Amino acid sequence: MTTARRSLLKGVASMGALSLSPLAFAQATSPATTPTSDRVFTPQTGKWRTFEVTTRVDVLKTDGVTRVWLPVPSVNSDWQKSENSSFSSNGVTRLRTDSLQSVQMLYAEFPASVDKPYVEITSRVQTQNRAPTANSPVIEDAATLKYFTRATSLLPTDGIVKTTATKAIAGANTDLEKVRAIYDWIVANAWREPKVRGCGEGDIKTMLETGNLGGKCADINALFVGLCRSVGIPARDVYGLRLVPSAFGYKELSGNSANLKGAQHCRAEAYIKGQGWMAMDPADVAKVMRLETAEWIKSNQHPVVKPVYQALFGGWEGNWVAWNMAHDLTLPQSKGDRLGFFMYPIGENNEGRFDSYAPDDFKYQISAREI
Amino acid sequence: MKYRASLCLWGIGLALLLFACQAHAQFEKKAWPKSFNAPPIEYTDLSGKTWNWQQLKGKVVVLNFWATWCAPCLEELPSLQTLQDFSDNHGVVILTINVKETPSKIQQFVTRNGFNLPVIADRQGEIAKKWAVKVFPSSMIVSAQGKPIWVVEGPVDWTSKEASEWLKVKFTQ
Repeated sequence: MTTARRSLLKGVASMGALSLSPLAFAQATSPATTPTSDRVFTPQTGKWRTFEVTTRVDVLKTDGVTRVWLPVPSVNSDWQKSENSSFSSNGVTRLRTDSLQSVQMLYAEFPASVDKPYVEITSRVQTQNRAPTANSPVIEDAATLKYFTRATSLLPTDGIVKTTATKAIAGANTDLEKVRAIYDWIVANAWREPKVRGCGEGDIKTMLETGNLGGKCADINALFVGLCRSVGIPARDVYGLRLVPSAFGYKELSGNSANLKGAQHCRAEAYIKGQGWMAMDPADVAKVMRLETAEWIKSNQHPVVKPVYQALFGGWEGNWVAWNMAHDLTLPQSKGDRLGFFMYPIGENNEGRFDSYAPDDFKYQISAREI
Repeated sequence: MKYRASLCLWGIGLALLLFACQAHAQFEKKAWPKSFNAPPIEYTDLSGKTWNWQQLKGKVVVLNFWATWCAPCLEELPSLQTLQDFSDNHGVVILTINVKETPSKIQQFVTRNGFNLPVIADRQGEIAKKWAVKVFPSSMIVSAQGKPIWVVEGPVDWTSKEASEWLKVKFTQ
């Protein structure tokens, strides 16, 4: 077991130490039906929710052996407990783990003789909100922290990435100030681009070189993570799925539990000494700015945006499950390239890898229910 | 009565025309970012023909990124086909790049719709990534000197006067 993996598991031990606020519960569970001027977004820790998430893949067009990989909740921390999974299929299935990056997945293989391959998995998970007030931060060892400052294929940490980050943090002294400066830089300069497919590609060097900082969560939060890493601050993307509506009435921060096919969402974390891993989601700030109202809001002080802008620096809502934090993942038995990230069902046959965003030939349904 | 019906038909026709124009008008044209290096064109299309800069020197190239799931792409492709049909003597070459679909699916689509545009299968999306494509359809207009000039995101009527102006980069860049 690597130190990185241990760090994910260690968080479970500190769960009991989190503070509990009845007022916070009331705020977190009352759907907001308030007008623009009274919007509230104040996720607080303390209330665990249990969900079952079901993914079913049907491969409509076969050509030789078909292989499918499905992400399984793999994160155990003070904000998520990943529990058991059950599955069924007309192929051969195995739960596989990438031990280096602590990624669990369901691998299904179907011989050419299987006419209509299918695989279905249901995973149980507990989640809770995050807030910057957690009083028992996870303390990471040096190797883990170094691991989360490394460059990956989509997150180079030199050249234009480092130059950009260095400019963004000018005048900041502590790591917290630097992270704040990068968060603010992202919110000020990147924007939600609804026309981008899926959650984006997360190719941050190209984003910076082209000056096109429009994208979705895998672009915008990857940019945040890359900028942090380039100036030596440990940071990581957390890839997952929105499960249910936001308790605060933000439609753009909600999932429709009956149909979560397009609800994939990645978040980020940055490590601050003394505070541990802090939740970060500048991509969702950008999403609210662009899409929550008919008007594209350009100010983070707008009453619709401000609560989200403030809360998503250090907090997030537990209406979302994390799959994993992996980058550059090699799928077992795959003939395709490594994945930049693993957030969607993946499939391959003799003709190569399916397009996970084009459900014609590679049909999948994802749903969730709260227990 | 006949007059009214005729007027009504004209009205519907005009509305459809306006709708079609509007649909095509939803594009964004930007200058190619100076700080971003264009990748070399060295591709083989589905017919086995290879394309590279040496062959294309002196010609304006339109690189169009598309996929069959993308409705605006399908709306745009006929106008690219028309552009090709009528631009043989004007030094414009159109290369379409299908992103992440299987050759059999692309071939089926192309045959069914009677297109004979060169189609390059970007099976893993690597070509799109190198050209920084985020939105479909996207088109790059490359000058006769091999320099990308324009990036156009969204569907374009390539038979329009506006688009024909863009293709004059051959003489100006």
